[in-house]
Amino acid sequence: MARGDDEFVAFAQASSGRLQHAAYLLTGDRHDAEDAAQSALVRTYAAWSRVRRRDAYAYARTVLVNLVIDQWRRPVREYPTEDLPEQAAPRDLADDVARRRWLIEALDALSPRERAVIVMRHYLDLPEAEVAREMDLSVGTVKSLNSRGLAKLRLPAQRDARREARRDAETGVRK
Amino acid sequence: MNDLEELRDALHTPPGFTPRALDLDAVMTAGGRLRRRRRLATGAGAALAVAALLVGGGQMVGGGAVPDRPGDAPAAARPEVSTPGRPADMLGDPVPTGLPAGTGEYVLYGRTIDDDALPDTTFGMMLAVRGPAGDLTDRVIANEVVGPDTAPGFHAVQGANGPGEPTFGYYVGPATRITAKYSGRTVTAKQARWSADARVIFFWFAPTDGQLKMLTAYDADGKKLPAGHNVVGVG
Repeated sequence: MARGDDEFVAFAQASSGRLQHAAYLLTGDRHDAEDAAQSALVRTYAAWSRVRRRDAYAYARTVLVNLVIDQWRRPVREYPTEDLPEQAAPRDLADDVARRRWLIEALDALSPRERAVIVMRHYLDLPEAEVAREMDLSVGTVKSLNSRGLAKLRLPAQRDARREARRDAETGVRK
Repeated sequence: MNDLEELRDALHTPPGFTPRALDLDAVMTAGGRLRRRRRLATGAGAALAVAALLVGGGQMVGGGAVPDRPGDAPAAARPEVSTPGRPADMLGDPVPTGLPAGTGEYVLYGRTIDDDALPDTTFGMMLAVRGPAGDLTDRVIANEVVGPDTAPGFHAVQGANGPGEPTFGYYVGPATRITAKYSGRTVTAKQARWSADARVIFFWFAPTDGQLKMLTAYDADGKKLPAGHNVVGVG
């Protein structure tokens, strides 16, 4: 096996769990998540000579998100309902099972773009500008989708806005 | 839920299943095949790859045990092989794009693919340059690698491998308009029905500085058509 292949195998083994988790949050379906993660790794391997010295995980993550979003764009899809599942505060939940069930049902209630923004902002921890770039949206649209998504989850967006402002101040970003 | 940190905690709670150990041999075989189709005809090394794929593909691809080595990939080399007249494995007529390529013009043509590893793929699409004397110089071939090559939707969408190259691919179905997003704008492809198979529409976008996204096809009534494999590949 070539050295690059060894590196790719190590990369894939280290990142496939996180990619599957991200894909699961985006799709809500374990098998779709596995397929999406595998496809993302196929494309990452195809581009390995270009991305191995850069941020390979960022490349795989971008491919993954685009694959899932493109799937949503296909004509046959279920549109999310405005009806949220019965709300339960995680601190009151007895265990992770209930928390996970609540989370997936809550994410299912979001529109595909709201869901993608929520997962990219709050699971993948990407700044708004990067989410905008990856989803080919304006930063304003990302802010709006994030606020709307948090509102549907009954979370205040102001706290996230303050967090983003702190991050920008720390990294010297000007908008 | 009443706190952002709790949402983040919930998102980071391990999923209720153990992530599957992915089949990395299959990943590398498919990834190697994907890379191979992208780099066919992009240089002397690639010309050999074309020969290997089209003549001895059963051994090279079907074996699947030796994926391409990433370090071997040529760096966007220009082609060195040009064909006077019509290539033997050309299908249908070449489609002129109207896009300049040096002193020539980019054209698209269909080409036979006969590869044991791709049982559902019978043809690919070649981006070539037609010189002033009519000779064809192949640049990049793209073909379906997952599923039937004439299933409804987009197939073999290939992004630019260098400045001035178009994004191109083919669509199967009654598409009258094909669009993509680029820098927040909608751009529209030019398209031409393939003379070898009327179900197949070749399309190409004018060159851009970045990658196109969200390829969408519409019918004559403006209704969206099936997407198929509409993600742009680059390599």
